[in-house]
Amino acid sequence: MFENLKNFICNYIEITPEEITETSRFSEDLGFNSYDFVSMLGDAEEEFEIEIDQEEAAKKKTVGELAAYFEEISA
Amino acid sequence: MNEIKTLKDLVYYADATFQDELFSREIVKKEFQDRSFHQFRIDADALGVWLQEQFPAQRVHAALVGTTSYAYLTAWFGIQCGNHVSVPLDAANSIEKISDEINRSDSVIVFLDDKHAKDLENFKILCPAVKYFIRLSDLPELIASYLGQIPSGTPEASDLAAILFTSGTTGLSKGVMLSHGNLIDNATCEPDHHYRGTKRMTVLPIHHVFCFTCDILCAFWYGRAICINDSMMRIVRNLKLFQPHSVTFVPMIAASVLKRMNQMAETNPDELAVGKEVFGENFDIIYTGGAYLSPEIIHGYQEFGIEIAQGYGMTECSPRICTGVKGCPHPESVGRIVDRCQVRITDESEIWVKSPSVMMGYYHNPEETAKSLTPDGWLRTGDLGYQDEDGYLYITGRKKNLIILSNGENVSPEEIENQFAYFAPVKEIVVYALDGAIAAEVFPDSDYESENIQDEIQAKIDEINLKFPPAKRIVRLILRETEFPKTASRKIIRDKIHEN
Repeated sequence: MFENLKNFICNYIEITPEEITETSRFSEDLGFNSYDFVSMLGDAEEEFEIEIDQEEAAKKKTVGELAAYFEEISA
Repeated sequence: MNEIKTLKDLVYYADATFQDELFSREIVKKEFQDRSFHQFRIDADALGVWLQEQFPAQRVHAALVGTTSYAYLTAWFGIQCGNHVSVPLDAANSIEKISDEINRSDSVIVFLDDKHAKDLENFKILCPAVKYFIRLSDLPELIASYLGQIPSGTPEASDLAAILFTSGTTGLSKGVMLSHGNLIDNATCEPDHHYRGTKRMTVLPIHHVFCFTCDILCAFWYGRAICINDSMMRIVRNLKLFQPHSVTFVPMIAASVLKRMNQMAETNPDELAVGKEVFGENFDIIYTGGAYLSPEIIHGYQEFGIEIAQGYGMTECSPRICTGVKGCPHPESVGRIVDRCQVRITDESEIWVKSPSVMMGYYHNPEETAKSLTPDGWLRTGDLGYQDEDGYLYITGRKKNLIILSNGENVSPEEIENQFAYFAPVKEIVVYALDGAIAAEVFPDSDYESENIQDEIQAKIDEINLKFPPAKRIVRLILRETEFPKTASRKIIRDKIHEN
């Protein structure tokens, strides 16, 4: 999931997948604002065929944490 | 029109005029759930009767905590049909803050969405004066045996209809008291542009009067349907699903959606097609309010064939003072002053407003009311600006942020800061007085790749300085490594930044 999410995130910011690590933070390191982040979650629901709880997802600060959450709900 | 004096009248007017036409559409378990204007009046009346049974011969204050849904709207207008007072609260606040506003508004009944109902036991402890907590999801069952009944009594136009809390950057929130007359005036303050049968997707928080008046009240007035966006996550997807004719955004959402379209245009150079793909075939216009919308965003949308118009208002004015205009000839303005609204620009350039939309005052707060309202009924907006001959208004800044330099010159920091909107190297900027001259403190965008970001920002400052007289020019640039301190609603707290 982490690899898929990395590639997916690259649709939203000017960055290559190689530059994203598990500890990359959405706001501080990747420059997402609050709306960009929730908008990306909306698209992720379709891309990964999952149903996201926005508040739970908003607690995830890093790419690794969000990937783990996606894995948990797609299980 | 003359017979519509109260919110209850408005609901009845819509039922009589638009009857079985679509009033609301929401997504429930991946299906559309539609209701007509007639169905809505029946449901709101039923709740009004139930409320009158619980509180016979009394007018009580009823709080609402939740996001937009048909049940939420039924509760809002059930309260009105029962001749009570609605107190819509910001559902994004903490339980403590919500409870404080429940208590300070003297609410004795609270309608909660499922998310907040999970904290029911805490609410009961924090709000001991509340007699009933009602789950919005229980409403259908609650009103089932009252359907078809009509509540008694009719309020007067001058009666209190709602208390809405405004958050300031300092101190306690203030409860703005709006009468039926205030809200009806604002809902009907611009001519009908034949919106009947069109769809408005509602995106903004429902406790906010911009959303409430422009999306909800205007739906009853025009016969326009409300499509309820169920999540901020799904705005773009829901635009496709609902195919609305219009939407209200705040500038941050407008900027993000534009960014998204720009990304799509990288693979599809037909920008008009991208605009249609995102907003759908029916789409006509985006209205914005709540913050400054830069001409760059307006032009950005034009590239995609999408019109965007900004308006201006405040909760204390129900809220519209100016309304966005289609094909606005002055994109740097905040729109045209609405009908029945008088604007006065004081000698200090402050905008004062007088209209039937201006609030009754702040709830239990005569000191703050006296600061906002003059004895002869003018609302001091606290904003600085000017008006042109065509009735368009322009905002230059906030009075409380005004910088008064040692030479007596007054400078509005926003006027300078707005020049840096969407200048990529600058993520946040605050302008203030330092040693008698103007300094700009900047939090640079760490994603912006540059060999020398300071030089690039300085070059932009030099360019902007040429637009201003010498007293308004930035003479010092300070870079900071952390973002500026902010309020819960993400507004920069200027008082906490170094100022001389």
